[in-house]
Amino acid sequence: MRRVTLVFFIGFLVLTTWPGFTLLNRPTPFILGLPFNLFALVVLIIAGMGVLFALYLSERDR
Amino acid sequence: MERWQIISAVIGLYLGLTLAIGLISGRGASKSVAGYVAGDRDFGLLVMYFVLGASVFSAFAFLGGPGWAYSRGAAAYYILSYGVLGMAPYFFIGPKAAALGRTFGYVTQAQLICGRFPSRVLSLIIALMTLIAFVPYITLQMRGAGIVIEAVTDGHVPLWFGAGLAYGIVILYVLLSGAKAVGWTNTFQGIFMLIIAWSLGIYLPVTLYGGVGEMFSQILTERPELLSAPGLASNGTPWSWGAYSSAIIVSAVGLMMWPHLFMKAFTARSDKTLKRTVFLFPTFQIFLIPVFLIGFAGVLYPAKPPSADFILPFMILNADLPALVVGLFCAGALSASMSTGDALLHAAGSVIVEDAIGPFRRLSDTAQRRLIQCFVILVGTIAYCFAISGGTSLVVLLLTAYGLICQLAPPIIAALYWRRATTTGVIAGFGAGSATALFFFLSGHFGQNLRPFDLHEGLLGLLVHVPVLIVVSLMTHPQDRAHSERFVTAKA
Repeated sequence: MRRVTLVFFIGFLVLTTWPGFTLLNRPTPFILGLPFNLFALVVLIIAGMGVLFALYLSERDR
Repeated sequence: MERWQIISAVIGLYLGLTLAIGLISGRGASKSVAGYVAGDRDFGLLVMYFVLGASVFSAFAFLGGPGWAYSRGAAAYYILSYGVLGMAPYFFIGPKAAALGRTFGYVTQAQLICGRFPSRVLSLIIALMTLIAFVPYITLQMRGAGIVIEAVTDGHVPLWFGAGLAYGIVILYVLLSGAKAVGWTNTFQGIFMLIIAWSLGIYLPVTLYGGVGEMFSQILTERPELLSAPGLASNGTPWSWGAYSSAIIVSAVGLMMWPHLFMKAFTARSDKTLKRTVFLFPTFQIFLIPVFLIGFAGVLYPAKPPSADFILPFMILNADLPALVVGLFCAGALSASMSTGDALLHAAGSVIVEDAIGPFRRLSDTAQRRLIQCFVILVGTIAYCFAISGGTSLVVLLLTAYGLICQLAPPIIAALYWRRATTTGVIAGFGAGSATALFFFLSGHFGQNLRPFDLHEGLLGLLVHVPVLIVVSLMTHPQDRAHSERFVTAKA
């Protein structure tokens, strides 16, 4: 799970900085009232929380 | 009763409640240094979650966040991007640091670094650098508190009195109750701040525009440049991708390297608590969304605040809210300022005594505690003098500090994960990285921007720091194997 976490956060860094963020960087469509790029960041943050939670569960009994 | 008097009464009530929580929370703490600095290493999940979350989200997030969204649009997204990225490594580093803290009695970051790389000079440098970073940071928190109080009371409570009152209370509970007070007041302030941010973040777009989506639709029509990253620079021209991306990287690297945050690893009750805090932290990050909405709500508002950082109190005052509600919102902003300011003051006193004086002079537990309290008062007084005198040089100092603070990351990583790292290598890397960051910062400050691709000076410092640390370590005599092994194999 540590490897998955590492890969995820490298992907997170690539997607939130240049040039990765240019893929998500458009204001429309609005989702839940938010511009698409802002909503995409929220989704990435929630996914990050999910990955960290999965990592915690996988190592809980160590 | 006049409107400003009702608002003042609500603020007074909030400050009284904070003081009571601060004083009561410290009653069960031991009188030892570990009790005062690390809360007897007994913080549970609730307190750890809020102590980290509320300390991270300072007056900068609560006042500066809306200010950025208002004046620089999508540039503010960088604040949203770096939090999770910066916190994730703490899942591994935090428990390892905590284990070493329990074994060797460490209560500060420099003690951990200098435990692995014994050097009194390095300890002193880290302490001085921390102080240089902390004073402007505390000053800005105090000034933020004073500005909010002065604005919402129509100037009846001046900045000097508002800042003095709020921080007089902070100093009082930090002095008497130490880390326990910081933990429990931050819990109270964190809850308060979350409620206020969400309420106002939803209320303003709905009342002014008819909804969040409607607000962004109108901004897209009239100011489309604000909704695409990297947004705008402070002078209103387009910001560069180099500056935007490197700001995310430097802030992520530096986030948990701020001594007042890193030190909280030594306060957790267990590794499980620390790890749970890390995976729950992103929920605090989402709190930036309503904070941004407050700023975006001001973009098409006909009247303008005196400066972008005033957008939150400005919108509160212009939203035709009852005085009681304005008072509560003001208390929310004060929470943001005080929850960071108390952690900073507490850490400043602790770092000076433990890292700048401790290595040179042995002190009893009682003497250390008293000395920390003296420095809390001294640092608080210095910051207060700066806060009431104003001046932009402090913002300049704070921006420099970010570039310097992230230079603490390589020594921490080397201490915990690299057997071959040596004291000389760490000092050389630290010196080279800090000097590089300072050089590029000053070049920009004096009008000759030499930074390639507009990269943040902290990142440029790291690009020099890491190779120097590696090369000099490999060129110098390795540390005793048993010594380095104790740090590298510490259970995470």
